[in-house]
Amino acid sequence: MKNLSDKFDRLPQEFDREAIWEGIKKPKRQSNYSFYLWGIFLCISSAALFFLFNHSNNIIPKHEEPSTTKQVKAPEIKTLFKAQEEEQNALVESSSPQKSDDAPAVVPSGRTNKKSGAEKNAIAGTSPGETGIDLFEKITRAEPQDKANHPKAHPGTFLSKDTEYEIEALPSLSIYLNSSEEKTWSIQNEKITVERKGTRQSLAFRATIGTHFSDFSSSGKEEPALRNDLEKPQLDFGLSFRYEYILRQNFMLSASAGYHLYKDKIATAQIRKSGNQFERVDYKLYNHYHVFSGQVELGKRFYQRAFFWDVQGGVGLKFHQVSELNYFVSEKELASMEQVKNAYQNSADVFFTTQAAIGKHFGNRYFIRTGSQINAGIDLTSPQAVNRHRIIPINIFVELGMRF
Amino acid sequence: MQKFESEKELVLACLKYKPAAQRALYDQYVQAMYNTVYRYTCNHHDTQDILQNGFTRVFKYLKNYNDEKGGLLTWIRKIHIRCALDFLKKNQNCFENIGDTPALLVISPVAYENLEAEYILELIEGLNPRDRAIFNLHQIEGYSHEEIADLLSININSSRVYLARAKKILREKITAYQAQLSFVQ
Repeated sequence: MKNLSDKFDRLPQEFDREAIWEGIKKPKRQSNYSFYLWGIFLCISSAALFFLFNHSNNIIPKHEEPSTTKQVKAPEIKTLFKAQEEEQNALVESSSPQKSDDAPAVVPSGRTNKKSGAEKNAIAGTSPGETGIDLFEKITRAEPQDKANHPKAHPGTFLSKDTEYEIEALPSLSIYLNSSEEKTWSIQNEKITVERKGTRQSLAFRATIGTHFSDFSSSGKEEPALRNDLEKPQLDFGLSFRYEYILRQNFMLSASAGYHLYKDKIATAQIRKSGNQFERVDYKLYNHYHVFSGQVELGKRFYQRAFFWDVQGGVGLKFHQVSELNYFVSEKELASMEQVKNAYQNSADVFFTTQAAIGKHFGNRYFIRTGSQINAGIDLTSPQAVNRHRIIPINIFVELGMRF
Repeated sequence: MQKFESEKELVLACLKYKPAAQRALYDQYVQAMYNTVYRYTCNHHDTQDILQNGFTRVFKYLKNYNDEKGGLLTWIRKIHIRCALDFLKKNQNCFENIGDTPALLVISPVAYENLEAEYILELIEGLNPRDRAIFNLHQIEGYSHEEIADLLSININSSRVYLARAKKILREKITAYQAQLSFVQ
């Protein structure tokens, strides 16, 4: 019979080998899809943070020189020059000695008075002829007085004449520059105080994605029934709410409660004998663990220019609710549902958690935060003789929060 | 083309998804599998379809192959035979249970060993798909009636009847052929 089979195998049948080969689905090295998902998740988070950094309005006004040169249009500058030349000519003609001695008003920080003579006189209720400010000499004359009166001021902050003219074209800016430095600072300080007093508490909604390590251990003498090597973790998902309270020196206390879905896959096979035939049965089984957790954490927040960093650690309690369980007691025997369920269904773990996050406030109330968290738990409820099962999740999260 | 020293090395390379190894495995076994599947379908187009499906399964489940239980050729052939039988079932060539027909069961063995493979193939092509499949399984692949019954979800007697019927037809054809030969000579 074998000869016959061999004879047939050697028959030189003509067929299109290449066409068949092209139609065969060849398995390729499978990329770790979870890795890509993580990558996408991180990219989205980074993009969101980048967007927020660039577009959010800070609560605290910045002490930066307003960029003016680019905002002023060329025709406006020309008109300004003309007006100033006319004004200068008028001043030369009137040649009042009292007016030529007038020192220009200077902002204590070193910013010169950017108002045109006409505007300034209009505010003071005098005519341009009465003030007679020489705009071209204003800066040099103002410098010594400015230094003497305001120690904070320094010559480096003085603007060139061209810039000066351009700045003068913006009336709103002139008003800003006219206000005194002390006044500005006092407003800012008030704002900072208000902000800190009013936003100590926050509530956030968190979405997590990650994976976990499954750890089966036997405290009894028997062989571990639930096998580590059969159960392969898959992607986990979670949702939680988080309350935070900022303590002194940027320490913070937080409490959170959430739900997580952990999934494991078991892919294995059994060889069964039916009659004279051996049959291979492939299994792809899934375990789902619904975990409800609550935790309390203590942490520290570090502020940087555009964002903040959080480092937190704490303890929590979680309850496992197992909705689907499939285990092999050995390579051949599938454990009964009840047999395994009794081992740790509805078990409770105490866990230690640690997380690091980076966040950004936007607007007056809202913030976004992303980071990673890891938990390590201790099974509380399983009897000593029964195999224990622990889930050690590692996940990354994105959090949207509101301060109040 | 890369050469592989042993079957095991070839399998290991395929498990590492090396295209050269996959191609080598295909080249090594495609002729035998083509001939095997063709015996069931007797149609070149269907055979090519089944081979594509069969080799896809081979590559997919190669991780389950255990060399201690048998050779790679046997394992691959088994997969292809299953694919061929699935194909026959799909194409409404259902294998039905047949009642006992004792007259058919008493058939003396046919001396295939003395015949050319091409001629046997020609004879097999003349059988109907069900008889042909069971004849192939029992007489050429060496499956027992119990295994055939399991494989095709029929009872053992039905398997025997199908085989007997195929043998009877073949015997008649062989006798006619031999008579024709002697007449020519």
